[in-house]
Parts: sequence; C-alpha cells; structure tokens
Amino acid sequence: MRVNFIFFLIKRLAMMAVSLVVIIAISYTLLAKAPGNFMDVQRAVAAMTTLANSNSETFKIQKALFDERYGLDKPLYMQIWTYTKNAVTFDFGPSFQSPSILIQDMVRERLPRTLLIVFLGIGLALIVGIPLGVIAGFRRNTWIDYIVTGFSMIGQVVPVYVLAIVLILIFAGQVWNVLPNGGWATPVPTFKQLILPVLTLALGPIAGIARFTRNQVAETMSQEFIRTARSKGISERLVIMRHALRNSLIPVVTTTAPQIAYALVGSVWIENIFRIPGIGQLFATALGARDYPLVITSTVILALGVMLANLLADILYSILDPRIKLEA
Amino acid sequence: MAVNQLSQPTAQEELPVAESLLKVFWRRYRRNAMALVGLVLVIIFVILAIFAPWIAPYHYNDQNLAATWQKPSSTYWFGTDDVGRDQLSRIIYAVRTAAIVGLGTSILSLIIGAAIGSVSGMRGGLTDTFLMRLVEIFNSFPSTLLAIILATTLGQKVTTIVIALAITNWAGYARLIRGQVLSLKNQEYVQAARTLGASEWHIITKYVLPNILGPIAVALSFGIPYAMVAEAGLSVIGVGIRPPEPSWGNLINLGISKMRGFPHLAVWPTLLFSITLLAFTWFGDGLQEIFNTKGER
Repeated sequence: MRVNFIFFLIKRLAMMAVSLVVIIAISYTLLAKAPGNFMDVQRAVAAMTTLANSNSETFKIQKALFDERYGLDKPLYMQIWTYTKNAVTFDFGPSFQSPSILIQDMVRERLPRTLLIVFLGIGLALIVGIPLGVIAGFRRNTWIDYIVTGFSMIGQVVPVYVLAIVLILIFAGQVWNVLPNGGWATPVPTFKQLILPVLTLALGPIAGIARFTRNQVAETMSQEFIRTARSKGISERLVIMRHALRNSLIPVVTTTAPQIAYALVGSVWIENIFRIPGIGQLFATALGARDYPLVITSTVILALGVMLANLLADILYSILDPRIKLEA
Repeated sequence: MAVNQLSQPTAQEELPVAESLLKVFWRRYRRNAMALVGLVLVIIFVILAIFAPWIAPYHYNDQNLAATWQKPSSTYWFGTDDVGRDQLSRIIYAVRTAAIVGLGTSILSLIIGAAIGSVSGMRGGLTDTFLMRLVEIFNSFPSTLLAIILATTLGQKVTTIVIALAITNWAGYARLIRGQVLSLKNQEYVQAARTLGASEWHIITKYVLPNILGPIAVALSFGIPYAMVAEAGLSVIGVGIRPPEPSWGNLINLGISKMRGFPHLAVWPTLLFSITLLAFTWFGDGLQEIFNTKGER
C-alpha cells in the first residue's frame, strides 16, 4: 500500500508536470499568433491620448527594444523553454504592463484573495449543502425532497455569471439595495463585500453537494444493515445517527475536491463581475491588454490549482474506500 | 393493480405484439414529467432558431436612434438597447446563434472525439497509451481557460468560437467512445465479422457505431447546453461573439454592464438563457432513461 501510494503520487505529479508544460506551450504558441500585440494596443492608446499618429520610426525602435527586453526576438520554442525553466522556481519575470513589478509578486498579492472566496464558498457549500442533502435523502419523494432536488438542478445547470447577475439584481439593485455589488477598495475586504461573491460561488457547489448527499443517504437507507438495525428495535434516531449518516457522509468528502476545481475556474467570472483583484481578474485584464506573460502565468496558477484539487479527490477516495486502488 | 390486470386480459396491448422501437422509447421517455417539459421547450427553441427572421418583429440590427434605452413597452416588449435595437428580436436571433454554437460545437467535438476514441480502442497498444495520455492531459486542466485563449487567437466570430470550443471539449467524447469500442470489440458478432475478413473501417461503421448511438445521443444532449454556457462565458470575459450579431453571451454581457440603470436588459436574457439550459438538461435526462445509460453523464 505504502509503496503503491508513493508510486501513484510520483506518476500523478509527473503527469501534472507534463500537462502544465503542454498548457504553457499551447498558450504561448496561441498567444504569439493572436492578432494584435501588446505594443499595438499601447500604440493605439498612445495615439488616442496624444491625438496624433505616433512616429513609426520611433515606434519601431521602441518595439525592437521591447522585444529584446522580453526575449520576443528569439524563436518561439526558446521563449517557451525559458519561461518553463524559470517557472519551475516560480520566477515568472516582469509583465508587459508594469515592467517594474515581478509577476510572482502580483500572484503573491492576489492569490490569497482568490483562495479566500473559493474556500469561503466551499465552506458555505458544505455547511448548507450537506444538511439539505441529508434532509432530502431521509424524506425521499416529499415536498422537501422535490424542492432540494429542483434547486440543485438549477444550481448545477445555471452558470456562475448568471447567478451573479440574479444575486446583484436582488440584493444590490432595485429590489433591496442592501449589499455592495463588488469592488474591494481596501486590501482586506469587509464582511459585506464578501457576502455576494462568496454566495454566488457557493450556489453551484451547494447544489452539487446536496444532490450527491441526498443520493448517498437514499442509497444507504435501502441497504440491508439499516433493515437489520431497525429489526433489532433500535430507535429511528439512532439508526439515522449511528448507522445511516456515518456511511453516507464519508463519500461526500470526495465530491468536495471537484467542487474546489469548479470554484477556482468560476472565480474568473466572479472576480470580473464583482471587481475583485484576484487571479481571475488578472487573467481577464491581462488578456485584454495582450499582456502574455501575465495571461500564461495566471492560466498556469489556476490550472495547477484545479489539478491539485483533482489529485486530492483521488487520494481521499482511496483513503476512505480501501477497495479502490490508486492507478495513475 | 397487477391482479386486476391479470384478471382482465382485454385489449390488444396485453398480447405480446412486437412494439416498435420508437414506441418503446416514447413510453420510457414520457415516464419523466420534467423530460416532457424539456422536450416541449426544446421544440420551441428549435422553431425559434429556424424561423427567427419570420418570428422576430425586427431584424436584430435594426437601429432606432430615436428610441434608445427604452423600457419594455407594447412596441418593444423587452425594451431596446444602446442604439435602439429591439431586445426581443435580438433574443430570438440569439436563440439561432446558440443553436448553431450548441449543435456545431457538440458535433465537431464528437467527430474529433470519435476519431481519436475509436482508433484508440480498436488499435490498442502504444497508440492507445499515447492517445489516452493526450486525453488525460486535456481532461486535467480547465478547458474553459484554454477556450478563452484559443478564442482570442482565432477571432470572435461564430465559426471560430465553435472551433475553439470543439478543440477544448473533445476529450470527454474520446473517452466515452473508446470505452464503448472496447466493450464491443470482443463481442462475438464483431469477432465473427473480423474472422470473415471485414476491415477495421467496416467493423467500426457497420457494427460498432450503430451500437453506441444511444450513449452518443445522451452525450450530445448534455454537450449542447455545455457549449452554450461556454459561449456566453467567453462573452462575459470579453472574447465572445462580437456584436452586432446577437448571442446569449453578448446580450448577458450588455446586461451586466447596464444592470444599475436598465435591469430589464439583464433580467430577460439571463432568465430565458437559464430556462433554455434547464430544458436541454431535462431533455437529456429523458434520453438517458430511454437508453438506460444512467450515470454516464
């Protein structure tokens, strides 16, 4: 088991490394071929502010200096190699937009904000989703069950950006104007500023966890050991508390990890709609400015998070259910 | 109930008449009430998509600069946008765009997935290992992020968005089809065909494909709403289908930016978009019951 586990871990981590390199290579190549580059965007902005076409000779010199500085004059595979090599030590270099700030420092500043809303969201989802699922599972085919099932259907199908709009319209719009609709002016957000983004992010996972828990509980309740426990004359409360719950809640742990992955990707939309300066917002604004080192780095960070969450899911699965063998 | 039926062997239904496959499917499908609702909504969706130019009161790009930012009224049921375009007409045309994106993306990713999945399953060996590693890589990272980057590179038209979404979503189909091929490959009738000298292509098209149509139909029906969500998601990030061509994405995006002053611009697209997504999911659930493929979602 031990040896197997270590072997599994090494294999999975190797796969993750390969995947990350593939992501870097693909996004690097794609972005290099994308129409419009950082300097073009800059020139357009400059031309607009000075109301004059910038001198093409000066621009050429500027662009040449810029290319040399960021190594853009080297062949593409060399750029990819340099970036990947440096990324191993979490050195991502400077961004196009702010040459004086290193990208890793930006990540260090912004990642905690993203993780804050992701983990608060998942925590909320567990606190709300599990009880909902348990109640629905024990009261199968009653109105409570139908409400929970219907709600989790909606929560799983409707994407985060739509949920965000609905919540903003209700709580920060004409209905009740009680909460701020985003924007973190202070480095540390206030409680009120956290409510809407976290709630939006939690709705999907709440739905997923409630649905999964409900099915687990329903399945456990139809098992023979429950019938045995009942026929021994144990009170229904004890049957539920001691036999049913324990057996149905353990698998719920495993669904939490994919929900973290969902929330991480969802944070891209949440942060853009609620104007939260996290990794997701970094990704979108960098893309708009054609700031490629920043785009690729934020992609890598988010992808790494998603992969770690999936790895965690597999490990938890094997720990909780020894019948499942870890295979890479 | 059962006793009742036994004691009264009346109508022809009781006789073991061979039921047509379609009838069996329909009987299984209508057991699920929500699937019926989904079917009706999907049919409405298809009608709107096909007949959009005849149903919509205006063309999606008809501007009326004298009537910008209108609230819903009898002339403009859902109001108008920044250049006085009728929001209802834009929504109806957005249904058409969504149909193209949904169907186009699912079919294109199915084609890529089917090619890779069936080759992988039939060949086995090193080819299989290599292709499955590729599938794993594509499955391991968030495909939406890659789609966003791809859309930036390819451009923001309907066709390029479809290509971007298909390239990032084929892995699931490949895995599904490989699994089906593997389970069918060793069935006796397939082996018999092979013994008779049938080519691999012949086996795939004549024996394997017809037998996996059910799971494929289910996968497609869930693939369509997925593609719609991804398309709209691209617009919210700013790399989706460009206006004036209406899509759920750019309508929702306009709604987000004008939520304060003109909430109706956000309410209608999001509400109808959500209903569309639910309809396809209910429809897919119904198909799942027809083909008894629960749990392969």
